[in-house]
Amino acid sequence: MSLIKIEKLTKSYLEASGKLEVLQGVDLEVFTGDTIAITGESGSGKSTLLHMMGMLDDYDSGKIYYSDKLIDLNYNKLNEFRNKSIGFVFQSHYLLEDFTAEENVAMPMFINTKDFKKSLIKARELLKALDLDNRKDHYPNELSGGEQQRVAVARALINSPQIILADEPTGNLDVKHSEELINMLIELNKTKKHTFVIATHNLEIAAKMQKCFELANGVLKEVTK
Amino acid sequence: MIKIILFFLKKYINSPKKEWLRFDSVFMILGIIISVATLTIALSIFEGYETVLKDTILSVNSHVYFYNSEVGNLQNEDVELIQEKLQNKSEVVSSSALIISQVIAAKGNRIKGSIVRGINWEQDDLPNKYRESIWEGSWKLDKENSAVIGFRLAKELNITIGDEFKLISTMNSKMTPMGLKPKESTFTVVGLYKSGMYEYDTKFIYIDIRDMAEFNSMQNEFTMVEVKLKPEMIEKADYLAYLWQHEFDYKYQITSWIDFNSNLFTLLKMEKWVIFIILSFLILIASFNVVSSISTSILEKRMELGILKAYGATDKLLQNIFVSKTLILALLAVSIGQVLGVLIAKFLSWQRFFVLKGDVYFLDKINVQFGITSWLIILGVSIVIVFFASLIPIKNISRLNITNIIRKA
Ligand SMILES: Nc1ncnc2c1ncn2[C@@H]1O[C@H](COP(=O)(O)OP(=O)(O)OP(=O)(O)O)[C@@H](O)[C@H]1O
Ligand SMILES: [Mg+2]
Repeated sequence: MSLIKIEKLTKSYLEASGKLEVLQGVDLEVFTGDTIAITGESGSGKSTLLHMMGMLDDYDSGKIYYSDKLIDLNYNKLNEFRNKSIGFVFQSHYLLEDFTAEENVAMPMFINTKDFKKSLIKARELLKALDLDNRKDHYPNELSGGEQQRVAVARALINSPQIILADEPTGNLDVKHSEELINMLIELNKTKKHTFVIATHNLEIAAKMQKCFELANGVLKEVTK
Repeated sequence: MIKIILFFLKKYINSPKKEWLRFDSVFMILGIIISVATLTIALSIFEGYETVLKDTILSVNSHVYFYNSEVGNLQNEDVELIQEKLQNKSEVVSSSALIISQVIAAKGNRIKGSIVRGINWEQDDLPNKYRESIWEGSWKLDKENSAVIGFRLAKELNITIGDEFKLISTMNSKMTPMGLKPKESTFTVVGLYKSGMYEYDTKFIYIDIRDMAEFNSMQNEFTMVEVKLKPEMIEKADYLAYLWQHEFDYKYQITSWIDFNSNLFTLLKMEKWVIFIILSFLILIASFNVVSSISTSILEKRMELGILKAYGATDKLLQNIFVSKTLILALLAVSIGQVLGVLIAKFLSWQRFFVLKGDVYFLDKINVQFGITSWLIILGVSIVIVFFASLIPIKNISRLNITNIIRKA
């Protein structure tokens, strides 16, 4: 059984110059434990696709199944579903500036369980695992770009989601830190069986993933290595 | 949900950026403080006025009055009957008969229309606060034709303790060869009277009831019997008067201080509401700042809101956080406003540059009183207004589009 199955997904935007067809029938199947790279030139719709998968925005047509269950934006437990099943990492960290690193990490679990203590304990564990335990009390603006992004990854992991959607997670990092972050994700995949879908320009990173797809002209094609 | 909200509130208050000290939220707070303070000042002065007016009226007038139900005076046996019956009543503290009459007070070429009250000044439990209201001199009217007069009246007649003045009654005029000659007597001032009520202090003259009978030539006749009630019964005086009316077989006309001043008190109550309603609009206007402050804050925090939404926070939760934040600030602002208002009102009552016109407002001193009811009503009304104002902008939270926010970083 596939973890996620996307069928003929289309999405267009209305712009001043007319209708912009971004996704024109995307098909994709993700299995538990996969690491998937989605490449494509800028404006090809990678972010759009990830947002659709993450149920952050509506699509025009097509279907998205999570464990064979059809999910769309009208799903009444969408908030809860997103909270428990999906972890997000974005190009920039989007940490909440009023909260410390560990509080940021704990937030999704806190929203879910309402148990602040447990959430904090789990957050500390994760930060430790990601080699950030000496940074847990820092506020986001006191962290380096690489650290911020790792904290963001920890936050994505805390509810042990079925899938982590990462949209150019290394976009703001230098080569060394990019590599570190990607290696960390691969490590997490191997040890904890986390499933990743990563949108990236960087072909080197893409090459490190188990499967690689390219988005072009609104459709997704697997790239064989 | 409460837990998360509290967590956010704590963070918000401790936030190193001190967001609540920002321009628009400071304006919101100031707006509420000023409007609440104004409302508090107005209400506390008004309430103080009402209370003192009531106290003053009560101090002069006792609580229930028995008159003859027809034109004319109460006879000796009426007074005896009334006092005997009242003696056994648990609601009654004391009663006393008195004679009241309109006179002209004169000294030299100064004259003034006055009301003279002949009282049983020796009675220790006199139903009114005659003895307590003596400002200067003595309350004892033991020398023949001695009088206690309102201090303002004394000023107008330009007399003081020890001076003599004339009382002239037009009611008991005598026919003389020279024509109609009004009855005239000379009295000596032994004390000055100050109730605080402008009207009384400019008009009232107290004399011994026997002197009064003599002066008025009405032996064994009385204008009325006044009755003092137990404190807990004072507010029910009108009801009691109504009951007694029946009990005394409608032989007497029985009224109470409430009936007597009902117009005044109704007017006061109405004015209080008008003040309250008008000034509530101030709070309403102040709450426009609430709308703009929250709107700005939502706009500024949209990134956070978008992320929290992506991570499963419901619109309801986020909205509640914003509303609670606002309510806490509002609560703080309202409290400060109330304290400030009471302080300013206290200052106004303390200062002497600005006084009320006694002939218009009965009292000339500004009094302040701020009861728990007013306090709760102001608090309640302002919080409710702020609450509803905060509901307007928080709708925008559910309209925030997560992907748009994330893209625009
Ligand atoms: N809200 C929107 N309204 C109109 N057009 C949009 C909107 N969001 C995205 N687009 C357009 O859709 C196209 C796809 O955008 P998307 O961000 O998915 O591309 P991308 O592959 O992620 O690009 P990049 O590599 O630069 O991040 C772009 O041309 C973009 O301008
Ligand atoms: Mg993108």
